[in-house]
Amino acid sequence: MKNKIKVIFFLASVLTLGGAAIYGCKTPASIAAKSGAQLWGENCNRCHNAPDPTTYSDDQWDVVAEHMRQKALLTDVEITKIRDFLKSAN
Amino acid sequence: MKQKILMTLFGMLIGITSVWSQTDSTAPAPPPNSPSSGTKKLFLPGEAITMYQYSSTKGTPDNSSFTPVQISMFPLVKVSDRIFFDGGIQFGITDGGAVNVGLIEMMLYYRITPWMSAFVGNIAPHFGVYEGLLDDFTCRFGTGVAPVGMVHGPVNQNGVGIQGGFQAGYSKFTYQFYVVNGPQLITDTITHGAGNQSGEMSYGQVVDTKRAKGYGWHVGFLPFSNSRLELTYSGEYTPTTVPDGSGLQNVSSTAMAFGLNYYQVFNPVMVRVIAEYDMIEASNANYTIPSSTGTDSSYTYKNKQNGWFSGATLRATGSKNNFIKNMEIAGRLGAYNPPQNALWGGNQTTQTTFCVTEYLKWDLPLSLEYDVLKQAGSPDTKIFSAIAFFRF
Repeated sequence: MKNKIKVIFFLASVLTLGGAAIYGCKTPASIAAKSGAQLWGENCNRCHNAPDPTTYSDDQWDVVAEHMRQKALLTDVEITKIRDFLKSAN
Repeated sequence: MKQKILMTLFGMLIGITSVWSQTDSTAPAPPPNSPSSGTKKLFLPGEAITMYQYSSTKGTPDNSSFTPVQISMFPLVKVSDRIFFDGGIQFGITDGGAVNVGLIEMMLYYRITPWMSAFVGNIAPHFGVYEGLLDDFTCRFGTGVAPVGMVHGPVNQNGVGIQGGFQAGYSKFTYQFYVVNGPQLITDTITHGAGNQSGEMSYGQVVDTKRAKGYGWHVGFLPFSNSRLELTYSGEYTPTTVPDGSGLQNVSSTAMAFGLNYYQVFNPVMVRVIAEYDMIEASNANYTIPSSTGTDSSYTYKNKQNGWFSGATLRATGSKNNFIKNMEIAGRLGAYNPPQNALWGGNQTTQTTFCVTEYLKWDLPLSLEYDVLKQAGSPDTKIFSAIAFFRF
């Protein structure tokens, strides 16, 4: 049992720290150049229909964006661009 | 042991913080005194579900019911740029007309870095493809009958953890790690015969008197740059599921799920594929079975259950006709295998589902669902459901 826990936490640590190291690497230009509209279409549709940008007010989009950051585990760049795109329609 | 775990967690946080300090935050800092900075923002969306259901099983009378199923409210509060509260309360109605209230979730998040948030509260673990939450908004197959192959594993629990997502080249990773009270083994010393629940896990523990907590994880991998394929591996391990002194304190629980979610547009049709395999296993134990004659007995069995489902949907997103464009056709197969020799177990149940959904708006699906449930030794059950789902 104890070994199982050790293995799980070892893997978790390696994954998290390894991931952090990868995160530090430069993001490819084509990924970095994605617009908020493109990210909105790609990421929202993965789980549900993408909402029309006029659905909510700016303040509501601020809250919805934080909600989806946590629920869909979106990256900071993604949610920032998507939120700005959705708010730009108001 | 606990010290080692705490040191591991502490080490992870230190490592993360040091890595973060070497990378630039991509989120632009809000200007000083900006009205969008540090201002609390409350948003209270909700949803209501109502349904008509017709059920037919050979040998028993058919039944049909109009059911106001439930109404739910989700208080979401952006407390500051880093702090966010996410809650959910559900109201249902019983046959007698009484209202029952349930907590869907209650999580407080603190964003430590751009790619990591800590959370605490009553959490819905990211387990399987629906990540702990299944409703008509995200499920394309209707929710009149829950998929039999879904969520044989952790559900809502009280605890603490970290989660986030980050880009890794053209791919993307998501993760969640948490510590919770964990499940408690049910030892049923009252029920005679087939209804005896001994060996099942109860995940609703508020007061935890066990020796150890439950440790959960979720890792998602999105290999393509367009994020259209998501592969997930999630699980939870609890070393002890019974308080010391009962003789069953060494019974552990392990749950795991593998998920796949993929969608692609082949103009004018969008195709989606969703699949999951999940399992939960408890180590062997001897359970006391009460006897009506006064002489109790004991029995043991291989305590492993698993389920799976796989489905596909089609939607003509490129159609110029709005009615066609907003219609999604879905089909799903699934199965659940309980522990065969458990008193609460039995034979495999299979499920075949067909569903047609018309989206009246992006978040208002109206679903017509048809399910066939089969179990060896029992007559088939056929269920038709018409489900209206309102988000507001």
